[in-house]
Amino acid sequence: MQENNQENNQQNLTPGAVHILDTAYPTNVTQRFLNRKKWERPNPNIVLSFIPGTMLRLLVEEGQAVKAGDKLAVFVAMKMHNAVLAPHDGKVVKVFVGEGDKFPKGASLFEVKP
Amino acid sequence: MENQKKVEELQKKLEEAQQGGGKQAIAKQKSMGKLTARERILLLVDEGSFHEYDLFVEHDVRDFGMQDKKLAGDGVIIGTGTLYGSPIAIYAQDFTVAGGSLGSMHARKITKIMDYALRMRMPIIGINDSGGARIQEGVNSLAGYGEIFFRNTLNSGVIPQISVILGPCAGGAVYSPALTDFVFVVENISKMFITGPEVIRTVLGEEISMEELGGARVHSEITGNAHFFARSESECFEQIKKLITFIPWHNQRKALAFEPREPKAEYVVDKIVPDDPTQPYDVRNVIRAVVDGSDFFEIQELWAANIVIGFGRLNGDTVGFVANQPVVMAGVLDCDSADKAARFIRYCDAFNIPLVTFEDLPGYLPGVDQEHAGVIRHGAKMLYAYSEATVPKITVILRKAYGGGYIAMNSRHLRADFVFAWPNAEIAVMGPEGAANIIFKKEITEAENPDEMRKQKVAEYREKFANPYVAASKGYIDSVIAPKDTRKFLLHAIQVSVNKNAQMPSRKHGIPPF
Repeated sequence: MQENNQENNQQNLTPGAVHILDTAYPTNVTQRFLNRKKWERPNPNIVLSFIPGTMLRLLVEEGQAVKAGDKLAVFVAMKMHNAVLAPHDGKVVKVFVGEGDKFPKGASLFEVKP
Repeated sequence: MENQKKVEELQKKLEEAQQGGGKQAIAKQKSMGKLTARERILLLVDEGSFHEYDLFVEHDVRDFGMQDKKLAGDGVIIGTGTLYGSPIAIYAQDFTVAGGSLGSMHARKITKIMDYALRMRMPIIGINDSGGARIQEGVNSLAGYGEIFFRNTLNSGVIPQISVILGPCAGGAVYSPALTDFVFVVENISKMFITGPEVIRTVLGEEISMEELGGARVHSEITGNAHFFARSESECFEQIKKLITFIPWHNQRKALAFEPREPKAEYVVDKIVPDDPTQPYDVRNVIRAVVDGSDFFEIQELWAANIVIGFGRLNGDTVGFVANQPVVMAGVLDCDSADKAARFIRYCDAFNIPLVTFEDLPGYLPGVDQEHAGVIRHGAKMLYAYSEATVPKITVILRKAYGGGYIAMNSRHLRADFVFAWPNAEIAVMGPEGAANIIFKKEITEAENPDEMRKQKVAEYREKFANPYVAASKGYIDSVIAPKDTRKFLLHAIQVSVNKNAQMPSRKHGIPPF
């Protein structure tokens, strides 16, 4: 029985150890492995930022209907005005950022429900 | 009459062997939306040109009941043919025969055709559709993989090697495509991974499907392992045929020249780049505005799209293009885009294809994740590849050329043969805003109206440095050219550099920052 799962919160699990029956066999695990992000199924309705930046102009409001390819917002990153486009036809259910907000790469910007 | 009988007998044997895994297995293959190995080859090569070898090869396994199993061609078809009249070698794994599993004879057939291709100096196309190693053969099948990988490395940069993934390609098998020049994948058919979903679930507890783990889209958009993405097998074959027209048969030749054509009138080169340096545009339109017939064949379109690579023709001859893409991530350089460009540059260098670089980038992407992902090492690959390349190298600075990005994008200092700049080019260590904030920090903070002062100083800096003439005054830029003259200058640059003879110092090989 191999149990090597960090997300498992049982107290008797030592990080990085291989547990066989009641014995924990210590193994060396890199910091990178311990810090790794668990894979999650991406939600196609959430529009993520593809580069860190600052929101310049929001062009849609919550509840607004949009078509695929419509401009949702423009944000500044690396001295450029980058457009955020709607991934598919639908309705903007949620806007996660305001104008002037700074956000990292991979931050949620909009939720567009088809 | 004895001979006639023998010919008939041969005919019967051939027909039998060409049936592959039999009717049932073929029906199953079809139900998965896949063509058979033989159909694939015949669709790819010129009509009537395919000649098969080693059809009667049999495996010699005597264990696990394998001695009673006859596998047609041992699960792989090899042969030679022509594509638009050019010779090619080809092999296709046949999933209908024992799941296309790789045994020692199967591997020996593949290595045989690879050796042929090298000796005859012709491109090789490998169609991969295999369940993996033939377990009954044990270490012999692993040996087979090793022999293939070794030849992939031997052939690399001598003859073009193309891999087509038309089915599963898992475990060790994925390293053969990874060693080749171009990998083609098809949506819902191609699956590539080292360890499958089953192992990931038991070891890490993560649930993921095959398609999400290693489907065509994953390798085209996330990993960059694949170079061409198609929605159907026939679309994939069209892409392969188009690619073949752009590349030479081997490294001692040039790609076949085509009839020169003018670009289409709808692409007007001086109307594409906006005046405002904060406004993005699609750099592929600039490429289309200068290449023959506006025909630009893009590679790795979906991965690291902040840099654009691909082939086009200038005056009928193949040219490799590398261009920053301002419409995606502001056109920054990052780990993936540097990797993508570096490999393409080395490909072009190996196969005598001149390089044209279109430059418009704000620099390297800042960020903890980039630094920790090793942007230093990845970025260095690009410097290495450009410096090492001895084919004609031409750069056109379209707009921004800042900092490390200016150096990396085939600058004069990396021995570019020609560097041109448009009159609106901005060449400096950093953008005017950042530069003014540092140089005039004191003046700005002490001013009565800091914002006003900052604006003034930014304008001052822009006036002084954000133009191509400072660089031109040092000879770092050969010519400042009007955008509409770009094609004219490129054609001439290619024309005068046909006999370029640049040598690298003698050495076994360099040590690129892999």
